Amino acid sequence: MPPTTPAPAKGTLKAAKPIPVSQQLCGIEYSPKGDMLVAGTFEGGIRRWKVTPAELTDLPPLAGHNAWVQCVAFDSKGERFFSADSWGRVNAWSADPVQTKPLWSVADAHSTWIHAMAIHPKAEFLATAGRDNIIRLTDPATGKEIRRWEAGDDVLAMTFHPSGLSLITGDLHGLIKEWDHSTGKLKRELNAKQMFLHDRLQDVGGVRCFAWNADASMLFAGGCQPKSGGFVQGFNLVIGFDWVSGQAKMNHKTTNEADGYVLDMHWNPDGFLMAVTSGQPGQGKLIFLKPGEAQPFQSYPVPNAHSLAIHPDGKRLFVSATNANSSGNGRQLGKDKEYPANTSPLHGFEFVG
Amino acid sequence: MARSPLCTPRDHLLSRRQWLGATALAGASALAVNPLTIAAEAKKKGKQVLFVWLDGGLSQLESWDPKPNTPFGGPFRAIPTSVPGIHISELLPNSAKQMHHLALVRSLCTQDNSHSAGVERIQRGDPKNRGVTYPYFGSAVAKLLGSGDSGLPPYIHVKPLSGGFMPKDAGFLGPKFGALALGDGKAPDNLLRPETMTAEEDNERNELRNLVDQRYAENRRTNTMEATRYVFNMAAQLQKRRDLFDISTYSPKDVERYGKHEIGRHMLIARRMLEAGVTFVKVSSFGWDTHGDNFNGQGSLVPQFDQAFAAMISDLHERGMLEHTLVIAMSEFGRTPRINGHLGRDHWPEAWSLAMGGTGIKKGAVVGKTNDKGTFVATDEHDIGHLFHTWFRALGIDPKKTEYDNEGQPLPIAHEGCKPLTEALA
Repeated sequence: MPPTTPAPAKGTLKAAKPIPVSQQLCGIEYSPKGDMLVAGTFEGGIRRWKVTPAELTDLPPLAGHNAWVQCVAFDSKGERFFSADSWGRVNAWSADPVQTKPLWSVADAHSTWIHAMAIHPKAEFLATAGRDNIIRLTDPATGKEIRRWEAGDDVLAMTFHPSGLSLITGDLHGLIKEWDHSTGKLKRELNAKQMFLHDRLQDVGGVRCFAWNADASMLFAGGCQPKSGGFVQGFNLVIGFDWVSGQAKMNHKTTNEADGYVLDMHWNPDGFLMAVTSGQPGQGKLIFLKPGEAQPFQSYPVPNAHSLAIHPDGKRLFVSATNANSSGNGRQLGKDKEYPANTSPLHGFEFVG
Repeated sequence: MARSPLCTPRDHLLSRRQWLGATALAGASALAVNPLTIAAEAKKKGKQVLFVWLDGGLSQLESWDPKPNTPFGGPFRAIPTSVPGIHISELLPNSAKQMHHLALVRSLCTQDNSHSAGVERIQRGDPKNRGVTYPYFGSAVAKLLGSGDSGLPPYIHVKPLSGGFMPKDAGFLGPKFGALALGDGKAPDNLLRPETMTAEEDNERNELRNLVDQRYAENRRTNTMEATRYVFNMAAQLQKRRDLFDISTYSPKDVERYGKHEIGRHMLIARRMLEAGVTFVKVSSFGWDTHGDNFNGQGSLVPQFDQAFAAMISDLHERGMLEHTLVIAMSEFGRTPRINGHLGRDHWPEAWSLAMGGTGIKKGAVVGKTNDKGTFVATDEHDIGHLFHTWFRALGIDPKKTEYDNEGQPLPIAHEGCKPLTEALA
């Protein structure tokens, strides 16, 4: 989730021509000043773009990671951003586009894949978690470890309460845990087990993203109600919890088992959720959903949409997706008989009028 | 390798020539050409096979042939193994410690990218088409090596879901060489004599059944009746070995080591079957077709296989059983290097891997290599026919000198256009 809440968005959403990106991307994020867009890649890199209302301009990419850089996030002042990879490394970077060396780097923050990262609202902590079932609190200024504790499961999503008083994790088995980050003690659990299925040998699903509403009275958890492993068919699922009582007050589930996961969500101050989904290859949407309403009031097809970045003006957004025809059993080759790679075009949208 | 769906006169000529050659050799050395004699030799050595089948397609990139930090490499690291220079996926830490007992083939390039064709073709060894259905490897071994002295069926298949007798595996060998499938590792249904029936009553019933069978057989095909009798005899043998199915006798330590998950339980049952002397034990695991969310999927699946497989290799070694047991772990194909929009990998027969070990296999060998991105085989490609040659050789069966006799039609036991991977043989 963005460190600052974007301004309300009004008007009609207009789609721009997708911007080609030659790599597959993980998460994307706007800087709080709205002048930079960053994204982690599948190849251990970070892509950066200078943002103007008219265009995106490539900035030099950043090296210093391995494999998948799934997590990127700016602090609230927009002076630094942080990144985490699937080999357990966490880096801090200057938001100055000229700087290409990390401010600090911790190679073994985790022993394996970091799935989730969150920044304390006052930038007091950087929290990371992943496949090693560990939650690590880091000093954002130095990279020094402040605290670590057992999460009890593979954490796939993470957020701080906007008050900064607690840390919330969502795990593979569909449990949402509220932690006292000053002690590492579990405060309570919320049940999102609809998001988990054990199919044959495979643990499928899990809580994949969080969003808060404007006054933090509701926590929304996004994921999938899985129907099978393997292909991972399942229905988009968003559960909205009343934060005080912990009761589920909203349950948005689609009816097409090819819809797959809700992978990223943001709250729009006009009172709705903006979310992206990715299911079977080619299936994906940008949806706008009001709590209490059964169906999204707007839905745009975007093939396999993985991440959503909202400009702080609230009017512009980017969705990182996947090229069409991304699947393929067998021997398909490109035009020049080269082996084809997939890419992550950036789909830009703008509220107009 | 070009494939024709039809047999050609040349195929028949080759086969006949091989048969004539074999017959000529028989004059010089009956031992060399008589499959039964060869099988007897192998039997003396007590050769056995453990065949682990990961149905749907294990990703080579998340197992035996990782390409970390490349565009298709995925999120996981490669880790060193007990053999210097060999690295495998971090999802296989236990198998990495057993690598000195294993060999890897990283140059598989096979023909089918669909499950329906691939499962059959791979497990039947993809021989030249002569209008007959070849046996699965398990049935082939059951035929060539027989039951040994255990009195147990030569081919047992531990699998999820339902069990029963699976004659289709046997192809032209006839239903007798099919697999006895233990659904979820359990004894076949109704195996035990009901408590209300005495042993004498059971014997009388069986005698009556034999009489009726004989009369019924007079106008029936021999192999059909053989199979019928075989199944009843098999049931009788299994009744004597009901202890094999008593899971309460497994040590809690072993249950922990192998894992309480399905593949762990099934592998432990397989170990008991091998210890009891079953010639060919197949363990199937379903659910490896990770077209979506492949990396979380493999992250869930592979460690379970790793735990059970490594425990089995360790135990077979400690018991001295790797000296006479061939172990193979494989699927019908690998998975695409390309990562689709659902973060899955699709079917990829062009460049994939398997692991094997035990009798006749060179420890710590790696056959073949894929290119830097793992997209294609960079060395000689190997089809399943090469593996069948290799495995038969490892079991002491010479595919050049051994043929099936399909009611008078001599048939090679492995594709004549292929040869063993000598660098994988001890």
